[in-house]
Amino acid sequence: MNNTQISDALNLLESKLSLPLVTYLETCTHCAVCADSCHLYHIDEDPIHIPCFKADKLRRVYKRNHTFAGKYFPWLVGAHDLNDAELDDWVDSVYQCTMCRRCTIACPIGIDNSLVIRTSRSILSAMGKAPKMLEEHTDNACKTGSPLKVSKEDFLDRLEWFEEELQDELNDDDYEIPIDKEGAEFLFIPASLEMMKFPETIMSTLKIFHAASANYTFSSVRYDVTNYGVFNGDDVATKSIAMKDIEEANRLGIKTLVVSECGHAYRALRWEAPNWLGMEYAFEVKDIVELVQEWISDGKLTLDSSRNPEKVTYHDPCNMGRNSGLFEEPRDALKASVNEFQDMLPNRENNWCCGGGGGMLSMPEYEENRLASGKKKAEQVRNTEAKVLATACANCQMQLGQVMEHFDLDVKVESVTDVVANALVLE
Amino acid sequence: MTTLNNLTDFLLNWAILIFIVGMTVRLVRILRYPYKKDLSQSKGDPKYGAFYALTFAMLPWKKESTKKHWLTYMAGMIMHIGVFAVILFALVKRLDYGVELMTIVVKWIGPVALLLAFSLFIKRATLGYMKAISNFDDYFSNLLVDFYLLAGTLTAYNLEWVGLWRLAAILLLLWIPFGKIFHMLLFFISRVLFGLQFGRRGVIKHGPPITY
Repeated sequence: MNNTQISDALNLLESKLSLPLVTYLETCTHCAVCADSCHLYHIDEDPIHIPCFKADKLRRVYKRNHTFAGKYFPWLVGAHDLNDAELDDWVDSVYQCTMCRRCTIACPIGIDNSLVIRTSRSILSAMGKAPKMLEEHTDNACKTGSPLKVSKEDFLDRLEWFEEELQDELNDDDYEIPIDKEGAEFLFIPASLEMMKFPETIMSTLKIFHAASANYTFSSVRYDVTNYGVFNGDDVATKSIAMKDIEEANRLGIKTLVVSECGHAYRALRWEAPNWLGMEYAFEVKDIVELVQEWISDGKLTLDSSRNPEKVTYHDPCNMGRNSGLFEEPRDALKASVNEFQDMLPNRENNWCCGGGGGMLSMPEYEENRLASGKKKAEQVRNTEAKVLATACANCQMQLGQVMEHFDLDVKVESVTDVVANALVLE
Repeated sequence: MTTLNNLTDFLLNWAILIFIVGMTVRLVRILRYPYKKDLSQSKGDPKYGAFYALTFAMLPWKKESTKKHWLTYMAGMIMHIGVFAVILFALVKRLDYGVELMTIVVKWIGPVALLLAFSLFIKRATLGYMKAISNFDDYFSNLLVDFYLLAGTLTAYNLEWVGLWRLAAILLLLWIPFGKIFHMLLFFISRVLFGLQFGRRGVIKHGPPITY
């Protein structure tokens, strides 16, 4: 890195400093309470996984450039200059974090390490030091609209296939999946991971839309709600991807943009994008699980819980629960759809992260730790003796499937809509 | 002792002045950073979130971390109570009101707080994971607090130690605006910011269930 690049990185940091970020950078007392709250730290208790250790990477550069003691007596407060070696030292710590915020709940001071990590990733990304596959996925999303390069043709083919399947299942040749329907109440945008790995979840959602007689539409322009810029730390990409979804919702004149079971996409669109883009929406943003719960509550869905006879437990995706407050909606939907439901402990805001968030699934260099970090989750699931593990995030679903296998648990992992759709009585 | 008493009596006023100016400058500088209006549609009650974060969320049985690490939690709490008791002792001595009561309080809590505060220093200095996250400030701040507790407690037992106590106070006052003990102010701002966001998002709700 030359002096210009260092200067650019410091300017980027300067531009991101806000009251919350500065407070979190200035306040940590290194009490280490956060260590025990992190699922990654529990792999082998390596200090590299202590949340405050990760946050300190940025903190020491901040101190060096923005505090009196750091500027004039850096060794007193652990302040460091920013240079190439320093940034290289950040990478493993900063990207091996799911940004789940469990440590924020545990922190006596309430420090949001996730915000610090996100800022660190922005700097690394701008300096070209983000992990390769994350960069690729983000580039794909910007160029093709999908990180997994799902093309418009692939997507429309998939919808056609779903349509034919459902025509058979519903015994209704007139059944059609609406696409680009202007003035629909709901715009549903799925995630590419669902389209490619969990198409049954899209089928389940379609059945539920049908049963609720929902006035909805897909978009042939925006058919992947994932936002890899969030993981990567690429601010330009993050804003650009979110803006395309918003523009499409405005173009179609819908009332509610419905995000599929994709935790980070929901968090990004629901809570972060309005602030990144400096705008308020003309529509609501809801997760599909919120809608399903509303429809169950309103009596729009007829459910037969005996169709799900096995014990079911629920994993709170961090982006849906701890970061978005969606705790009761999925539980209510599941309780109405299954014979036996049992929460794992701890749950809700104290739930253990599955280990697949923050882009971890797209960083093969950290695969070993990603799987090992599911240890706490596997213990939780084992203790419930459940046979079905439901979750409301395709990313978590993918990780949990691998974690169950890794820890030799005979537990089926399903999405919440899959479980609900299985109990659905279609007339 | 007399020389130390006279010298520290003179220097203490300057230390207080530097402390006030230093704290004000650092706090104002931090508060000048922008806090933008959250444009997302609110789902909960941010004000309740802030209230909860400053009150009920701090109760030991509400936090997994305090339940799991109750010994460290108790050590930290008693250390802080001890420090506040010694500060109050200094204030009542200046005001010459309630000195007898605070002398008794400090005689009891001072030694316990000192022992526990120093145990936290030992923990930091000996455990590998603590050493990995610590810098000079972490050790130095702890030792300054230990020194202040020690000198304040000795003074409660024998007024001849007052010069040493003032020296400890001077060092502490001069360091706080620059080191990590500044969290004594930022702690509240951080908790409020945490509560506002988690309240707004409906993570912190009225009457949340205990989930562990």
